[in-house]
Amino acid sequence: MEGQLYRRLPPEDSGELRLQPQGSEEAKTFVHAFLKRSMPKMKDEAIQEMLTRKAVVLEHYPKKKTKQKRKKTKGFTAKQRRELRLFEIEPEQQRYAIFLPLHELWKQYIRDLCHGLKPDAQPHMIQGKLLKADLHGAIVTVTKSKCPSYVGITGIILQEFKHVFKIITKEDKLKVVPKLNNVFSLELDGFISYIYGSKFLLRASERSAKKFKLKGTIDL
Amino acid sequence: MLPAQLGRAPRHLLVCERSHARHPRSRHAAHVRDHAYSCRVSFLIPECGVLPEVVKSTIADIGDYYLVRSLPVHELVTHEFIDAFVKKGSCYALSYKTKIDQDNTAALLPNGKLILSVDKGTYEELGLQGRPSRYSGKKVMRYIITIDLTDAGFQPESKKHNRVLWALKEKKPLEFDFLLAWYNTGAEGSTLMSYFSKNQIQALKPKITFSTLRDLQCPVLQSNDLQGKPEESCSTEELFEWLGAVLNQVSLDNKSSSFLSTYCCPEPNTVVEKAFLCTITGFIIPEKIIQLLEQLCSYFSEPKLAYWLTLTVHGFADSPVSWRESEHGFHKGGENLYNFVIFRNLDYWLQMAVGAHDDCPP
Amino acid sequence: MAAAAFERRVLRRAAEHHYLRVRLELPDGGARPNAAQFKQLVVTALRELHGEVGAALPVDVLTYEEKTLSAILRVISSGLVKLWSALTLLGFYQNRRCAFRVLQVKPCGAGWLPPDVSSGSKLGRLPKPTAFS
Repeated sequence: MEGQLYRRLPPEDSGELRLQPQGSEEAKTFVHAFLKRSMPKMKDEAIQEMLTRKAVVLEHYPKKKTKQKRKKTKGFTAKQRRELRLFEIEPEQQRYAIFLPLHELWKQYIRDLCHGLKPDAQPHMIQGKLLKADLHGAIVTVTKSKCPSYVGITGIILQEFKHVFKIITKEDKLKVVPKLNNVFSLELDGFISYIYGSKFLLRASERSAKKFKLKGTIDL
Repeated sequence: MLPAQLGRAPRHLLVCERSHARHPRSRHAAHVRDHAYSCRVSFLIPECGVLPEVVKSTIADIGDYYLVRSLPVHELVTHEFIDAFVKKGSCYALSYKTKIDQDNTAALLPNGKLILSVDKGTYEELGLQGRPSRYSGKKVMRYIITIDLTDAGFQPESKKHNRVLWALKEKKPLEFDFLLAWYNTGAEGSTLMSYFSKNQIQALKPKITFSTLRDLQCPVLQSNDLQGKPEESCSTEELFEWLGAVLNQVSLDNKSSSFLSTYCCPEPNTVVEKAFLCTITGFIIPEKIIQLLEQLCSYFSEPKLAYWLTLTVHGFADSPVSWRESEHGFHKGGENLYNFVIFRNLDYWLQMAVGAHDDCPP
Repeated sequence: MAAAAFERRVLRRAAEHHYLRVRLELPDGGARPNAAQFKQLVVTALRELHGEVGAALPVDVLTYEEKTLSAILRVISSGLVKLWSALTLLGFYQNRRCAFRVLQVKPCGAGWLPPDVSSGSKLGRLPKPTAFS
């Protein structure tokens, strides 16, 4: 086989191809040099081994991308977060006026979301949008509650958690209102929507992906 | 075959007391006063053809009551109203034609307590603290809210007052037709009529009917024996049953073999030639009932043929309270009533009966 | 005042009898039962639902008004549920549709409010369907 490979080309062929015929020894060194040059990383023995291969599969192997393990963002644990009080609002920040711009932003956001919130819009459509919308900055009122002292609390939602809303009232009081067993109403440009808190026990991020079912009781 | 427990009748209570009307520690007046809402008073005097003048004038003076249509409840918690009426006498108010087991009901007691009995939905919307009804079962469907209008913390502009006013005025405006009555002993202030002149107010007079029953069989009673003895006297239960029959004009002279009815007057009995029966229907306040009771006691100050007489007072079946502030429910009959039997020597029996959804009378 | 001794007795479920105020509803026209026929109808109702034992339940028709077809029945307390259920399930009187309306149920005779008490009492209410629970 090797003899065949490095054999001198028959003169008629070389004549046709107008090649400078090489001697068998020369050809061997050329191939070696060529391979060495094109695959500099390979060791000589490896190249030699390649040459002994009887069949070479002529297929292109894309270089398998070694999937870079995404480095887990080294955040805080829940415990650390609590200790650092990351999500708590300092008492001097608990002022209604500070959050009014947030409310304005939120209103703008909802209007954009609902294509301008025209008065003739379908309430159904708005409902669907609001269901998935972010509620931070909305002014809500507790309209119904199993616990009467929650009834009537009005304010801007500052934070939404899985089980509670944190609401700042006009009196600059920060109220933590559970969602369970409470019904909230939010009003925007004449549209009043009711949020049945018991069906809303989700984090804001989870809610956007959740499909709400129409079934079930709305009783508190 | 019916399950065994269905053979049991719903719970009901009959409390019988025996005392003397002139005894210093007798509680008869207190019992009357504690039973705020009465819709019918009837008394039966055996061996009496014509009513004595004093009793007649008391009946005539039993007092008007008022019916105010669609009165918002928040008007009862304003300080003008509290200062003009609640604090200056006994003010009685009861929502009219509201059913205690399905509607919202309101009542203002003379001690200044406003009691709202509301269903679950209203309670959740109203935002006033209350307590679950005692008779609404495991899943609470009814709540009782008590607001003390004369409380020291219930000053104008106080937090409590503002909250109540806000809840009843803006949050969930409640409106009822109210029966109103006001009793005061002092100088005449403004009257309910003029105070509520802006609302639809109507003065009503109690309806009074007299009748004379002829040849009535009356049970024989022994004032010192509530339980009665065979052949000697009848028990309180027997009397109570008999009284019901008399008040409903049931014929008493049935034979035990009669097909229609086997009810007959309890033994032993006597036939009285005539008996006087008077029934007053309306919104009758306890102060007037006490007056009437006193008049009936003094009926025996002169020698009379009658050995005893009775005074029966029916409470409203749909009132949220029976005695004092104890909760009242309708269940099957909603009865809350009491009956006095006054004897010639001014001993009396007091029978107080309530149905299944009631506390034991005081 | 020897007789002034105070005594108090509390009787629970003491009433031997229960009273029902009922009204019979018949289609307009046609014969109205008289008192005896009315009683017969009640007994028929009891027999239909509870058999001969039911029919033997002593029921008294204390008052009956032919004009309004309303009556006051008296029954011993242990038979209240039997009577009530029998009346409720009765559907025919002389091959005509009929229905009993139970307007009031009282454990004590004096507890009655006559139906003409216009102000205050709220009569004519049907008992809640939970009555048999």
